[in-house]
Amino acid sequence: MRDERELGRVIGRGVQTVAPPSDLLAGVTRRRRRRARRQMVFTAAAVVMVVAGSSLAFWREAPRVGVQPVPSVDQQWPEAVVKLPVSSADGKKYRPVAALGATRILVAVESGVRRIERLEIFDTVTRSFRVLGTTPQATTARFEVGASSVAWSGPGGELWVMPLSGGTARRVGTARGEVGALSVTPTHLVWSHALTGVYRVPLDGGKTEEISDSLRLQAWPWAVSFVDGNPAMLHDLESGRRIKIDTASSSHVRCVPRWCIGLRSGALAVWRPDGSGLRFLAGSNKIGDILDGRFAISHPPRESVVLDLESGRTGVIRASSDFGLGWSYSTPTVVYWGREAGDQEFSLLNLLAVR
Amino acid sequence: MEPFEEFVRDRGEALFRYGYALTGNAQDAADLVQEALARLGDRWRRVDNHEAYVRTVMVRQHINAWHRRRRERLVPEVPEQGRFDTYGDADLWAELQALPRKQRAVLVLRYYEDRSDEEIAEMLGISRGTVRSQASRALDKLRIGRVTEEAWR
Repeated sequence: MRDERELGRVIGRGVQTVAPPSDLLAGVTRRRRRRARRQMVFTAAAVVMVVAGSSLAFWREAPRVGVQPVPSVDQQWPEAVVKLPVSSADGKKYRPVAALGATRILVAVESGVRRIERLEIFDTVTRSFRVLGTTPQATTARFEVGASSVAWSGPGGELWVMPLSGGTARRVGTARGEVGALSVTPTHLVWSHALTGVYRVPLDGGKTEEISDSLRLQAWPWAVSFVDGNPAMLHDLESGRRIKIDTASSSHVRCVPRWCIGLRSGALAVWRPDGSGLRFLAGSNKIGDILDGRFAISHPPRESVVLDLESGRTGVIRASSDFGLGWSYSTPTVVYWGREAGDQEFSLLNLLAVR
Repeated sequence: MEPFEEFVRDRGEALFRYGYALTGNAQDAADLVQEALARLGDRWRRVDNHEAYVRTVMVRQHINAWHRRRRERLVPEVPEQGRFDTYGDADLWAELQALPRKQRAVLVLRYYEDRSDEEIAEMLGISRGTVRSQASRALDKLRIGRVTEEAWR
């Protein structure tokens, strides 16, 4: 339950979000001239009487509400922001894929335009890389990390897995075409294409089976059903549990099990699938994402704001150059930015390291 | 510089923010404050407490239906410069904007301006009982508990 004291604080902060017009006096002067021309008579006598009354003579200044500077992500979560080298020893570009934990980041090594040559793991404590293995047919920019393996798909729908402990990639099956959603369970690869239809194949290889024709995979075990192109219901494919999605006056809605993000009344907003917990997100860009199932981010230009939906803490990323989210199919766990021409390092926020 | 101009220069920003608290919209806030200041300028010598005069004119003008020139906004707006989610308060702010004008004005005066119900009643030209009932309805809509109200009032 909210309490009254929140109100003064919220209004006090709200009024600090706008800049006053710079030409206030000019505007007032124009209005006075116009008023004089029209010779309009205002009957403010009542007001004057009130003002002349005793109580208002003791004018009290509105309480000054201090404006807290918005912390940058490095100030808000110093434990989670790290610097990574831009390129490998052999001169190839690193692209962050996902966090494997608080101190390990999975990175892809680009050997050409949208061609990924291998995967490496960056240890943020020792600041060293370890090669995981080469990645045949990894032309798409996305990977998916499971408990013990990482998966990707080739241009013709070829499905590959590689152990997270390192080693040789194995092809486990073929999808019908480009894969739009991919999950790794302890026993299977599960995927969807751009439309509905959820499919799986055992990690050891075997027969592909369709497990739903009306849903689209979100991230295992969750899949989404649609009505008129809008997400309508989240379905847990393991337990059968369903969560209805509240999309009232919203568009461009995407949901992860605990949060939805989309445009509501024309502004970027986040809410619980049941419609509760509505919050609007800052930023000039009306594009945003849910990160790690728990954070919301608004994209640049200008600034990008990361909001921890559980604690309410926020951090701002002010550099918009080369801003990107981790190249994973499921909700991204890393954000990176600030790779300028000539720079040797760029910054990365590891959401699994946020305490 | 004339005393009136000096007043506008010194107090304009604070008055604009007060207008923004009332209207939730920068354009309407600028209109409201400029109109009220123009009136003050015309009566400068006859008014005792300039700031109180402007604030009273602003809140009365805002809630008085006769002076509504702009369309009523049916959807809550997010703040223009949008720093809001940095404080996680955007939802309460948006709900405040969706309240009827008089209810919102009572909350702004009571919780932001820290005025007593008696002062608010005088400013708005309504009874103290009406101030209380308007505040109570607004707090119910916002699902705000009265943890401090009894102690305060």
